[in-house]
Amino acid sequence: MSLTLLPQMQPKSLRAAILLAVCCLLAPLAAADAPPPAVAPHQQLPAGSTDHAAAVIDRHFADLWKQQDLGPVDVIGDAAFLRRISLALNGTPAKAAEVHAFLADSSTDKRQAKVDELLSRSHYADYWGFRLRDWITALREVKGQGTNLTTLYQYGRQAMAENRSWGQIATDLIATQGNIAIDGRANFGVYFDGEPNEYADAITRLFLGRNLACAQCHDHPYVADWKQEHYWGLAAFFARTESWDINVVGKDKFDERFPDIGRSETSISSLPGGDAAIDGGGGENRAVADVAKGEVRLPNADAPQEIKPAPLGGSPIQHVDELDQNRREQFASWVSNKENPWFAQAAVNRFWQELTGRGFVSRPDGFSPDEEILHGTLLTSLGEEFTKREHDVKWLIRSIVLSRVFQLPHGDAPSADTWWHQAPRRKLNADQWFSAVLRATGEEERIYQLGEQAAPLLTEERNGRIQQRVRLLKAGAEKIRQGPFAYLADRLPSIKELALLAADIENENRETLTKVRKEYAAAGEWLKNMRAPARRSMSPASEALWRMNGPFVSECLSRGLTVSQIAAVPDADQRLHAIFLSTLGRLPEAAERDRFGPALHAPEPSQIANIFWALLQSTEFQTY
Amino acid sequence: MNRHQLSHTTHQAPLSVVTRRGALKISVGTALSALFTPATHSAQCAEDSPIATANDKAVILLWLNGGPHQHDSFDPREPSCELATKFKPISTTVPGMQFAECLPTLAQQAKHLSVIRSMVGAEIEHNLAQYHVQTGWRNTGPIQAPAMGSIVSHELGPLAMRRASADGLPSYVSIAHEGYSCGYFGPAFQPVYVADPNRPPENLDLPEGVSRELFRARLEFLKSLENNRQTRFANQFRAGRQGAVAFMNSKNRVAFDLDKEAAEIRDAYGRNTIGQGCLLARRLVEAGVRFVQINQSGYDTHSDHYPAQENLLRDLDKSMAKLIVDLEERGLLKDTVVIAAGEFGRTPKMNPNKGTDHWFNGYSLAVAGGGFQGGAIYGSTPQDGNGVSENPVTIPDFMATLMHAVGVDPEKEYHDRFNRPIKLVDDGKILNELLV
Repeated sequence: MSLTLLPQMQPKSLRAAILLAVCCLLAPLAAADAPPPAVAPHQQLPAGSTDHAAAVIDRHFADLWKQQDLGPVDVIGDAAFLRRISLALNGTPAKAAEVHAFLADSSTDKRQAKVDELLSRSHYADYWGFRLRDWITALREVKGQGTNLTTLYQYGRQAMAENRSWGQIATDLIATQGNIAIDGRANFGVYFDGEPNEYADAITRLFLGRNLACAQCHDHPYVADWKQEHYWGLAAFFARTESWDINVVGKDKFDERFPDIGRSETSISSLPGGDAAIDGGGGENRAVADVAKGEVRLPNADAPQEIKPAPLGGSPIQHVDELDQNRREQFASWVSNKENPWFAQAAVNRFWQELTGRGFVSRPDGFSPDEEILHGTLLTSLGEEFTKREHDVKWLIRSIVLSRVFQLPHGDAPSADTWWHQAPRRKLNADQWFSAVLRATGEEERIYQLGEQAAPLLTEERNGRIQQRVRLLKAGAEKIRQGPFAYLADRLPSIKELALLAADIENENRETLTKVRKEYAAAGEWLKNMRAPARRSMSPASEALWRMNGPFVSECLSRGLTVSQIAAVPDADQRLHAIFLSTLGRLPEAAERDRFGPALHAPEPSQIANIFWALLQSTEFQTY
Repeated sequence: MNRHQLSHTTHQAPLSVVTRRGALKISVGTALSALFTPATHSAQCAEDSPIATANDKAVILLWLNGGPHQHDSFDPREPSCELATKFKPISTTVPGMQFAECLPTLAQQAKHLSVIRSMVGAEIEHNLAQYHVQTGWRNTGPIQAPAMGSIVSHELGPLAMRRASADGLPSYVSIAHEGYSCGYFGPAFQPVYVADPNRPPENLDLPEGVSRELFRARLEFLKSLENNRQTRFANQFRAGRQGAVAFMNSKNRVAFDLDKEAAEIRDAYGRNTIGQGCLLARRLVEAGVRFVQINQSGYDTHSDHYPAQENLLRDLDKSMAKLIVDLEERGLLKDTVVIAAGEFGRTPKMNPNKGTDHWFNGYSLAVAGGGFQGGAIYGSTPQDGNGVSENPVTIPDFMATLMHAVGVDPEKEYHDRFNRPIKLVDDGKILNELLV
């Protein structure tokens, strides 16, 4: 097991990642109008490979739609496509200028090209890091005390940026030992509070798509194959895993196992406001540790016997504690094994549902022996292909969004629930809505510009943190070598490589820079505070109050750059176009031109703001 | 239709009870927000039973966040070197009923109070224990249960139905806390959040620089954009906005304005969150809000138990007593349940940091009004505070008793997506001894 955030990376790539992190902190900020450059380490996809999978999907549905006599099935136009794909892959709609360019582009493969571009932007990782965190936190109503939701997010973002395989992500979350302040993966264990059954339950739902929770206290009432012993057989894999709290286990013991080696600086962000804008901080002093003893028993048995680890549908593992891998590692191997079709199918179903709004089973954890699977043959073949491709997440996403099913017009024909020939309209999730408001109003751009101005100081701070980490790593490695887990010291990041990264920078105008730096920090802090209510579950009336009157929308509208930029456009028609492109990603229709044209006759910022506000509240803006 | 389709359609089907009461709500023009299907819920109402008899019952929950010490409050002990408490027991106006001496004002109101001294919880961690006490369910298994405020609000709707002219008011308000799980009832049954009782609910006022005329003009633009769109989402957003605007324009908003109270009254409740929260709760219940929860944080005194614990309890003493007196004088106490409860109690003994830790095996809570007995003690703990000597009360027992008291059937069943019945309260015994 490893203490570092990046056990899979060789020192060279670690260095590259850190360099990228330093660059990317600045790079997206430099781009005011142009789309942010591709800074995330992007796995190049062999040409044609996903297109093949998309063609398989298309063939499946073309035959079906013909059989069902559903008539001609269209795909959406370019503007609608760009909005949908940008929200789906980057969690934010395209900027007005990008829409403009996309509509003007006459090349035939522009949709594929756009998909590849969006997958390579750091916004992809920023957004999918939040998705992964949401998938995890949705597994339980109540989170375990002390979870560090910031490092959990940073882990997810890192994994998505590297395009770490889904199998590796599963292994990371299942089998990590570590301190949550340093290693975001370890939060998964803390979130489930070190309870073996909660841990196993969550993993089974997240990675195998199966919800056995009903079998915790009794045999599953509706699934004959799922007995209480099965539930606890899975839990037994986590019987020797503890959630450590420094206040409970004591600082000496905690530090011996998990010395402070400093935070990793490898996570790549193009979040406006930087990582200060990540919501949901949390615990520092907790860790997940494997220990030598521990068993689970049925909670209600009269003669409680120990339950031995057994994979679902398999028999208990013999001599489970005498094998090379510990119990959790064995579980991770079983879950993500290429021979385990549930793993790939659950992933395909989850991503499909996330991207299209419909799943092969009704919920991401809806698989069971009794559940009918819609389009089961397609799921099987996609699952097999996903496995062949080493659980490559970008390949999967790309295959889905290039298919026609992703590109269908909205419709609510009841038959579409079965045949998927129309797309369901969906409400933007909290992150999509948040980013959409920031981008449309130009508040995102204002904050990027602040960051760009403050860049020399940000770099200096980054260097300071790297130097601090080098110091901590040296001390930590020393400490580990003296302790009972000396072998762990070899798994620490290379100190030499890290040290090379931190060069001194001479700054002039320090006074001015410090002022901008403070402003930038305040913006990050403000965004963090705004993310929390944006994410809160509210009644529809409370949500409407927050979106109409709340500080987020009104301050974005008054501070953001878009309204004043539009007011500076001399032509009234162009002003109207810019308003619609910024908010809905399309040009106004004739009726809209008639209605709003006269109101925009004069370049009056307050009137522009009024129309802008109305567009932000519209159903079209809040759904996709 | 195959099974799969069925599960798709059922989990999007509206809660029949909601729809029914939704119609009623329209008729009085309130809480339009509950009109439509909650966006996410894992259970739905199976029976199409009539709504519970509309009644005048209301609930005010004083939520003692972090867990107050039973020996410092309703289950006192003589101070000794063995035990954590420093407060002597004092007599109350009810013979034989003693409180800790930091609750002198509540001691005067003992005739209104039912005290349960034998609460037995099951969760030792804050978040899990709060979920348990708030919903009556442990956070295990696949069920997402609603908190008591969401249940009462869902089952009974706003008091507005009974008290004319309460238009625009919500049925569930949470002060100084965003609220707990709405469970399978969905976000329509989340509370309206009041961050600070001295200020209006968040986002109720127009932002700076936006006049009413400007707001109206903006809504006109929006209306023409929406162009009477009748899609599911358009209807949802419209209903949300209508509920929001009704609330913004409601003349009952004055209920949220504590400046309407005389300074002496505000002083008498205590100039702090719990004090002003209690005063606000009284005003809201009078106006027609069904369930008000006030959060008082800080009871989690793992180190330096005193003075933090004492200060909180003294504030609680003053506020809760004044609330009870006030409700009584206004004839509202008989219909308003006032509860003082945290997620658990605290260890009878001090830890090495002069603090106390979490304790669920024998702790106390207190209830007044709304059909609960006054001057009653239920259950007891041994001298050393370790465990329960008689009449243990589980969290579902208390939940069932509370639901019964306000006219909600605790055995009422909803159904999950497998059509499995889920009772509002699982395995709770109604403590009839505590009820009038």
